[in-house]
Amino acid sequence: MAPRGVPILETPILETVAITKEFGVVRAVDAVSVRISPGEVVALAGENGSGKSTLARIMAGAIRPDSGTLVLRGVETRFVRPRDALDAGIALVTQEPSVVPAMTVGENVMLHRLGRNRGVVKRREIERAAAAVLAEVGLAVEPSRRFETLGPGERELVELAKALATEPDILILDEVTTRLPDPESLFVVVERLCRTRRMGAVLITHRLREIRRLAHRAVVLRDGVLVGELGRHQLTDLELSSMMVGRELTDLYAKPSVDIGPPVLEAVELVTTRSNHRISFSVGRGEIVGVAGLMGCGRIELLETIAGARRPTSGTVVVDAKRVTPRSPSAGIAAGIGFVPDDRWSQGLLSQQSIVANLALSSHRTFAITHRRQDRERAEQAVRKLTIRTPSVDAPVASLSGGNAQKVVLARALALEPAVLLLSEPTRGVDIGAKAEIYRIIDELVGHGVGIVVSSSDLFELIGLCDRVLTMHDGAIVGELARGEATEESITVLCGGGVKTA
Amino acid sequence: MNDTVIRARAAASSYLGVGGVLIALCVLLAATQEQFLTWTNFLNIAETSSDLLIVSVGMTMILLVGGFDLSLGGLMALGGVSLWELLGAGVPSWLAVVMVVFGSALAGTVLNGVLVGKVGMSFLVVTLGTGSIFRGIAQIRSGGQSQSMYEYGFLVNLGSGKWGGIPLPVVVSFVVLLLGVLVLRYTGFGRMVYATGGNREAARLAGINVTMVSVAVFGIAAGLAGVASVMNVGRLTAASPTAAMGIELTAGAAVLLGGTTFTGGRGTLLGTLLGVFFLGVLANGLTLAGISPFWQPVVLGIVLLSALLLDRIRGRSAASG
Repeated sequence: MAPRGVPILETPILETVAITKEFGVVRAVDAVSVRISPGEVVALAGENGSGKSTLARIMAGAIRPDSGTLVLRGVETRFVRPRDALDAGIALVTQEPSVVPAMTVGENVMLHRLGRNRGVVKRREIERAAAAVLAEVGLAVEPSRRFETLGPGERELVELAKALATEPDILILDEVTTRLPDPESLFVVVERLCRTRRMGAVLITHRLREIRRLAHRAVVLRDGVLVGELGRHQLTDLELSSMMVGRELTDLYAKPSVDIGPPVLEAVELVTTRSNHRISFSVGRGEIVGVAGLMGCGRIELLETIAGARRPTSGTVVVDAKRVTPRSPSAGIAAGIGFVPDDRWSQGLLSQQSIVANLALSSHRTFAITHRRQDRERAEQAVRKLTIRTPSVDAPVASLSGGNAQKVVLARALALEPAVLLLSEPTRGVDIGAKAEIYRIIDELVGHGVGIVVSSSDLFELIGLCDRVLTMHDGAIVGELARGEATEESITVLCGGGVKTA
Repeated sequence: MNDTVIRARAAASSYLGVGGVLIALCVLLAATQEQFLTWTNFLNIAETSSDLLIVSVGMTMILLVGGFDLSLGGLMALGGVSLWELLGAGVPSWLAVVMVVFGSALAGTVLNGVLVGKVGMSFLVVTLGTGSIFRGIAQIRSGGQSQSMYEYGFLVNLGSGKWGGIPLPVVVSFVVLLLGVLVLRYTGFGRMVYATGGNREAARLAGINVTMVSVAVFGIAAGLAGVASVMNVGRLTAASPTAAMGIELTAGAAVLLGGTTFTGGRGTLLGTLLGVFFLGVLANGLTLAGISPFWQPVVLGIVLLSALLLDRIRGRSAASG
């Protein structure tokens, strides 16, 4: 067994030397030098927009740097296309799907080899090779199955198998664990490959415990600049996050106590299109109710139905003692229901349009004249109030980091002064600094008597933020945990379909 | 970087390309053709481009929500033939014009708009089908013949009349353009068009009735095709079932040349105006230079592809993150 220390004497597999990349006026990566040695796992840590993903994509040849060089096994190299990096033994796995849904699992895993062998595809050979890689990542699926028939957790594992099938010398994992049901199995595979094949790995994740679990050292980026490096023994949450944010952090969940008033939102025997279960619950004024559950448990559908984005099969939604049951998102808004959808980019934002345009979205009336100056002033106010970091309110939201983009979606919902606010994954993929700021906003809202529903896969968020946590399993609410009762363990058991034992 | 720079950059990038080519073409023609830089010639260009400009305003709105309308040419032919039939049946002229315009808008709303926007069928399939139906009906009703409309004085006046020295078709086309600019820039509906094209789901969840927006743009474009068909009949003093053949493709090219994206959400009517004028100046220049007009579509194709290619290259360096 190789020692777990940092191997420094060997030639690094890959080294970036003063890599710089600019997008327009934003310097995403600023003269960053990092080396990855054989058998080593290097974590790239940093807030959203700090340049981690850009650096990873440069390493993998997906984008070209403006200046600086890549040194591959001691030799200066230029990757012109992603294929070059792949041939050089560098594989990148990201959150973005890179598969062809209509092809089989086997074909997808061996996609890099399909063009080889003079264009002749030997199906059986491909399936045999794919089966070996699939076994390695612990996915028991027939290679002949079509990819689109797989479930969510399985899909991510195929993405991983696809990268490993290229037998990489360096595996770059960019936020892949967020959608993985069991990241530990992935870590075991990576550790084994680092040991047996001396593979190097680059780990990008928001979860500090994953960095602690797997990385030999962490390189911390802030605003594109390398601000520090932490060795294995220095990898504490506080150390890491303080370095990432650039200031000392106080407690993330400093929830002030708020008196909970009469119900402001009630779901009465609501049946969504997801399942036949009748769902009933209520949220009081100033109350934060969490909804926990595994992927596909029906959390997303529940929130979308209450907001009017989906039509309920039956049942009623009551806001402020008035039956509203919105049949469209605009009806939901009119009834005082604010909604921050699950995926901010595909469901929340017009990425090419400005912050002003995105914030004004819910206030347009068909035959009304637009008030441009008023829209701008409102946007500037929102940017100040929610500390949205941007050079200008006219900047397209695509130029914002995840956390700031999320604040734009939140600001739009808040501008309507909702009585109820439904938040789906309010801080997914959001850095710690922005996370703390979003929690402050939520705290302020409950202080004003807004009722809040938070649906989240981040258990710490639910435990730290909520007065009550509802757990869902297979389309039904299967449990309710009061503040204090809700722990990582109790939530996990209930979400898995278990029963409340305490 | 300050706000003005960002805004100016965003605005400029959408139609700088075609604007530059248009200026270059104008300079070249002004230098080589002495008739080019005359008021008469300018009015001539504007007049021959008037139908296209009107259709392109509607097409811009459709492209902004990420669609395309292949039925507009057929609809114009049907509009012209309908006008001939209505007038032939003794319907008062003003009523006939209103019926053609609103009938077109209704056809576009009910057929194209509802099938695409509400039922969710592909806009290419739907408008290919309806366009074929429109032109087919125009052929049937007219017996496949071009019908002279010279006897209707008001139509002749509409087509060749002047208002303060400017041909009426030019006036009408610019009024349509101006109304379009006002609607797109200064009304809630206009902003909804951009939002729907930019991200349909986000717009829907933000409370915008995206179905209404999609249906409406097809209706508006069809109504404008009705206006264009009346002007077209007036200018040519004939209603022909083969009128406006392929105008939807030329309009699409003009809109795309003007910087509107095929995927929707981005583009301006000012860009569309430049695109239309580029095509007009090009045709005019070829005629003045005595080059076969058959070269026009070839040059159009080359310029369109180069403009989009240039955009692609610029886009890659500027916004690949």
